[in-house]
Amino acid sequence: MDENSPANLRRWRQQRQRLYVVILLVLAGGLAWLQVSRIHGTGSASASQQIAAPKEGFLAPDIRFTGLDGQPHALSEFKGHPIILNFWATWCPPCRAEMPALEAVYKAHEADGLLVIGVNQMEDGGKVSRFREQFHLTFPIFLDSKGQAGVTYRVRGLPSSFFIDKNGFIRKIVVGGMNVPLIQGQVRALLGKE
Amino acid sequence: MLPNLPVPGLNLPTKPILLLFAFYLSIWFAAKEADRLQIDDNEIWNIGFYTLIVAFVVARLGYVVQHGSAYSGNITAVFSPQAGTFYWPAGLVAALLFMGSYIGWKKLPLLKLADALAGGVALFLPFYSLGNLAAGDAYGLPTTMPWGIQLWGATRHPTQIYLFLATTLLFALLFWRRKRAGDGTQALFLVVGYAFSRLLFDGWRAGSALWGNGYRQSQVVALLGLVAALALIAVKLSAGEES
Repeated sequence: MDENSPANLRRWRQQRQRLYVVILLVLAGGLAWLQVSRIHGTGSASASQQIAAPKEGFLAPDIRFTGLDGQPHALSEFKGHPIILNFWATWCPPCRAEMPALEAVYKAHEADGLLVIGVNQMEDGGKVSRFREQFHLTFPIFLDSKGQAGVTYRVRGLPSSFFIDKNGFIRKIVVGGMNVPLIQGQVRALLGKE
Repeated sequence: MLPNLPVPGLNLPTKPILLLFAFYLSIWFAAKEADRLQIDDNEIWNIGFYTLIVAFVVARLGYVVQHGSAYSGNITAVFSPQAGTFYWPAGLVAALLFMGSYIGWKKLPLLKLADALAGGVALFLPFYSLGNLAAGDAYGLPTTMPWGIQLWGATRHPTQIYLFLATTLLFALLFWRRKRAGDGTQALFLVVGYAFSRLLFDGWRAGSALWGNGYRQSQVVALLGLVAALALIAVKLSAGEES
């Protein structure tokens, strides 16, 4: 049949008219669905994320660890500070490589309230203390002797760093060694300087 | 969830590896489609890989510009393989500009090329959802439905599986009508199908970026994309009618 035959033209016109109706229906239905499915109670997180989980956007789970002096501590003691929670070990080369960068950023933003918390994974306290002196680290380091804190945070590789804002929400997770620009970028976001 | 591949002694993250594989597969499929539409398939490989390189380079430069002070006295860090130091919006804009310039420079047939690339993108999307499922990303709202999955401290809508099924169906539909490709309709149908899927299934998604009074950005963009693509199909029908 000729493409320009009246029957074909009529079919085209009908298809186009049907499509206009579809567009209007999609627009109306889409707007209604946007309204129905919107998240109620905006803010730093939706209600479904106001629970603790080791995932960006969720509340940072509380963990217990031991100080180098043998005293027990918990992460919740530091609530109110922006925190870099860094899981590491002395035998791990990328952990050793990123320590100077962590120290430099800690020194630069200590006055802004930033805390770097090193959580050593299942090593001897004496060894960790010697490492701390060797690398001239001034940020607090704790021992996770049984690896329980690492399990709670589902640490899949060392080092793993969790950037936690002052309200206790995890804003970023980085698995692997970090350099100064990466840490600095995340800290500026935590401190609201971006 | 399978965040890491079960390879003893190696820390291999599942999602990036899956996406890398899917990218290669998508370019391969788009090249096949291009060949069928009488476009030099080498151009697809060129577009895919040069665009990727441009995106990475500009995303890194964007991050350097954003955090210039962190690089002063440490200029070698610009070349560091650090995965987190990229500013992706800059990379995306540069990639699109590069792709447009390349197509213009090589005088490639835009509609045929769009249809060839649409096939590749449609093949990539189900892998993207699988990657999200493996990493526990793009997770859903809590639900009491029997098909909910246990994730991040709650039983949640398996939004990654919803999108996997929708995008697999979309690829199957585009594959089925691929013999009618070449006039840009494959690309438009891809936009219609994907935008509709995101508009619908993101309604059960948690952790989304929001606009205004709790509206998900992804759903608003999807609705605009869906209406625009349908309007373009109407325009094509009108053009066909007039000609």
